[in-house]
Amino acid sequence: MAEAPPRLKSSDRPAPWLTLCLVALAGGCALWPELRSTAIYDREAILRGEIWRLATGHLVHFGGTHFVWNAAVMLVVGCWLESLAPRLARGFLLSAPVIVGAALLALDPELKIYAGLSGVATGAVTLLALILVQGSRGDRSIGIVSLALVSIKTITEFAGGTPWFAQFSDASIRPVPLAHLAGIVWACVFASIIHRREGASSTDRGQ
Amino acid sequence: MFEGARKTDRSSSVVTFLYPGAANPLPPTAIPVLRLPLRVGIAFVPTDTKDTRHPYANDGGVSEAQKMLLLDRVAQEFRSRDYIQAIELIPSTYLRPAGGFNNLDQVGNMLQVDVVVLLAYDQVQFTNENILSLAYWTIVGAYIFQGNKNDTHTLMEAAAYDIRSRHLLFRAPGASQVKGTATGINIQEKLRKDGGQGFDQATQELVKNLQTQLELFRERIKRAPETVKIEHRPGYTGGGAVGGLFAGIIVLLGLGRWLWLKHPHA
Repeated sequence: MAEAPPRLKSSDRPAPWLTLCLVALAGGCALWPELRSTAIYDREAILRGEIWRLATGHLVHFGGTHFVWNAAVMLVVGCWLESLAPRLARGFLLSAPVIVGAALLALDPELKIYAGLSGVATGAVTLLALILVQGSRGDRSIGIVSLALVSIKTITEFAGGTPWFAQFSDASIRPVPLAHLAGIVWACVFASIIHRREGASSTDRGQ
Repeated sequence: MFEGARKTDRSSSVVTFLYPGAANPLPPTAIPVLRLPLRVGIAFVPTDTKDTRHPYANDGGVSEAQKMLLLDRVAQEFRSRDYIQAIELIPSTYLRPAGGFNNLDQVGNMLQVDVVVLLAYDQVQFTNENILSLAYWTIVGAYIFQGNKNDTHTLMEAAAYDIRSRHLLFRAPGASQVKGTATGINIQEKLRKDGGQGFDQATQELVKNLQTQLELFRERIKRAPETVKIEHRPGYTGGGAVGGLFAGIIVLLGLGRWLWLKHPHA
């Protein structure tokens, strides 16, 4: 897995600019409906060629509460992740929206419209937890708790078919646990790719 | 002129339309199943007229154009909802007086609607002569003096039914009272105007109440899912949401770690 970076002083920590940009863009989509209609994940539009919607759909939300909870998790976890491992975090935050969007397009043909940052946020929580479990004792506890929480949430959502942690104010909107699972799987794959690459480069240096 | 106190009543009834001749209609037993997004039809309940050859000829004095305008105002309230796919304004001619649920089934199949909102009304107009009506004896006075007092009471009701299960989903009322005066000559014209104004005001109140009832209905579905079953049509809208509980725990974990980093020896 990705190695836990050494602890930095608060003044040395890199600014979490990508997380702040993502949350600001999501806020922009919440404020301007024109942006929302151009950015939302719309299966038919994507298949017509508007492929940016695979990534930008995650920035759109169905209401104030939907945005606030997703943005809160993204802000806390993204800033934390970017301060711990900036390159890893930014690589993940740039790739995850496309990967989660592509997974929804390939695996759920019934899903016509999708919005919400939670797939990316859940992936970010998983990646952060994978880094933390390799750190100090305190960090390891937080990592284990986060992994357990993400697992319980995802299993419950799939098993029950109904949301346990989240419910939309609009009855016609269904939660999509597949987005969370795609985020989790991509976080694990991404961490393992980085870990292998780091392992290979350290072997090269050793030789 | 010189007709004394008069009362005009025009009305239609949801109960008379749906359960003609049934003194004690049996309640539906099946649980309503709503397939989202919904297709909704809105219609005025036909008045119970005795003229079977021309059932729509004198539909309570409300013209078809007026009805469509009122239906459109009510439909606006539904159009803004994400869980409603389409709204059909059903013309009066599609519903038969005392047509019952069989008539609703026909219309539902024809227009592909799952839920129908039936609008019914009851308008009563009273007119009394006051002391100024004595001037009507001068003929000219009937043109000048407002010797008639008019009182128009309007009650409107919107009742939403799931056609398949025959369940009443929710209802919303709207009422108005219009008071006015008229000269002996223009009394009929003034009564028509008051009637129109009465419908207008009652619809305005009905739309307000409808907003409240729609919200209450949505809450009821969430609180008591056993009363109404919600299904989704193929091709759905989905959202990725972490939810308040998960977000709260993550934020607390983040806050705890930040405090621990700031005061590691505390």
